[in-house]
Amino acid sequence: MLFFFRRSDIPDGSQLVLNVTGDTDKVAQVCTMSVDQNPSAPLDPTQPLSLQSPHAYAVELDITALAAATVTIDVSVTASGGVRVGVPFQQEITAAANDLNTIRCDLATEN
Amino acid sequence: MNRMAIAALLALALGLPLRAAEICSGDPTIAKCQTEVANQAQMDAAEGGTKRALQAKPTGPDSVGSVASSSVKDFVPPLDAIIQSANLDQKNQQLTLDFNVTSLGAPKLLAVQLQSVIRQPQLYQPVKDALSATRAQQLQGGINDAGDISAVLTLGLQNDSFGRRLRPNDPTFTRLFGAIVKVSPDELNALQKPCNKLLADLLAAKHAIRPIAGNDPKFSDFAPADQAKLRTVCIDSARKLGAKQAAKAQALQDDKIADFADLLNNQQQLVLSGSRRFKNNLVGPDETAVQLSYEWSPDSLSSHRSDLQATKDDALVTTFENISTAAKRAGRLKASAQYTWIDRYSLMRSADGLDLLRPTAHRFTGSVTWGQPLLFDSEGNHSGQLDVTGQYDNFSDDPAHKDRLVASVTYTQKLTDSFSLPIGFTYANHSEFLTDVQTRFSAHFGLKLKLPLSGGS
Repeated sequence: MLFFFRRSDIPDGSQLVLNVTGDTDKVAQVCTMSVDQNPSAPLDPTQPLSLQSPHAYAVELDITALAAATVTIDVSVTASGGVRVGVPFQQEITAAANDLNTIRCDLATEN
Repeated sequence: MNRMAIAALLALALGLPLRAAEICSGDPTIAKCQTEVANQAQMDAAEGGTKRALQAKPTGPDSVGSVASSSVKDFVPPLDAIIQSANLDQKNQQLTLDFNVTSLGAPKLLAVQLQSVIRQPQLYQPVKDALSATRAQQLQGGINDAGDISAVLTLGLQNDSFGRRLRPNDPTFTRLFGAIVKVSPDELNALQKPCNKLLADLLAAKHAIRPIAGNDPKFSDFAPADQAKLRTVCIDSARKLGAKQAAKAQALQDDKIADFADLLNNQQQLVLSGSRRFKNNLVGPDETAVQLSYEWSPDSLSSHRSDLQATKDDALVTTFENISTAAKRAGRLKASAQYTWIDRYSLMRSADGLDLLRPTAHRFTGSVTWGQPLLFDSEGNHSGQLDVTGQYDNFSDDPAHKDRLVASVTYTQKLTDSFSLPIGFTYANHSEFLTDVQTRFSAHFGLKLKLPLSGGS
């Protein structure tokens, strides 16, 4: 499955938080990112990502199940004052072995 | 015929656009619409793949399971398989409650499991032996259901070399994933770019006709002309991204990413557990036990991590496949030692003429097992296996387990899916422990042979 998460007008210095809970020991997580179409090194999905203005971020988190697993993905963007930017995203996934699930985040910061 | 009907017929003639329009009905957010379209595109791709596979498949029964699927079952780690569970074992009349505690400490060095086992209480055998059957039955019926309960604490070492924990962002897996799926972020971003750009342009030009709720734009947040453009562009992007996602998923399955799980499964295991068994006085003495177990295989993720790290990206998949093949043929060692302290036991029931006294007792059991697949069929499944096992028991309260050493070497040849032929030698340090053998060569050695059809040994 492929899930989309889109937020725009994100204040400078906000943080993207990707949180996967549940049977996390049975899934492998690979997170890639590009900034303004330029790919960057793979990310550690457990660490918040700081979003700077003015840029367009594309973040993809691939979750591969190595065994049957149930995980919940939470995605949120929080401004520096702790205020949520838009509504957070939550999705529970029940995956069989070898299943690939991806959350794709398209994020645009304020100009 | 109205315009909607004509549009629908045209859309039907053109195929997928109608489906996309149907999927995104009800004014969803653009992200939600893209999610639905992408997943429909994935399903279409998967359906096409299944149809092609079925057309190419010769008639006949489907094979049940595969090496990969069975090894995935093996992957389920004993400590992490169940976050919290309750298992009722009807045969052994026991209920097991498991609770996996979150790993301790920042480095997550330990997996911790708490377990409670509630057994159906059974009258202590010496008590039973001293009573008439009727009286024994009466006493048995009077024992509280909580008359035999164990509490178990298990600790498993978890780091790069031990345990089966896959860290969230394992660099080895990250590289391998990239090498297998071969879909670069550039490709995916290029597909999504038209949608993102159009949306950014519309927002920058203040084309939204109302404030965007939840910072999650909907098509209806824009004027009809803009909506139409957004639908066309973003649905097209989503459909292409869905097809790429299907290709990524298929690449992972084709390259048997489950083999990665096999390598992880073969990692060393070091598990320490301690338990206390509380019994009703009619059930027997309380017990305390400590067990240490260790498992090792020569081919695991940790033993080949440096090989994988040293391999260049273009050769990574081939190297990984070679390592996986070796792992399937690798042997496995398991060693464990258990020490049990049995409390002093005393029971006086003058009405039943019972005056039982048992001193404290100690029980030691040590075992070592090595399993080595030897012969393989054309598909790489092992058809012959050599097992070397040894177990030493020394119980202070049981002559049948006093200074008892039994070792065996067994070769098992798989004859058909249903029948296997085990043949081997057994050694026992005392002749009375040499059981389950077909022929005795001496007081200590015997031949073990179990014919599949005779059912005897």
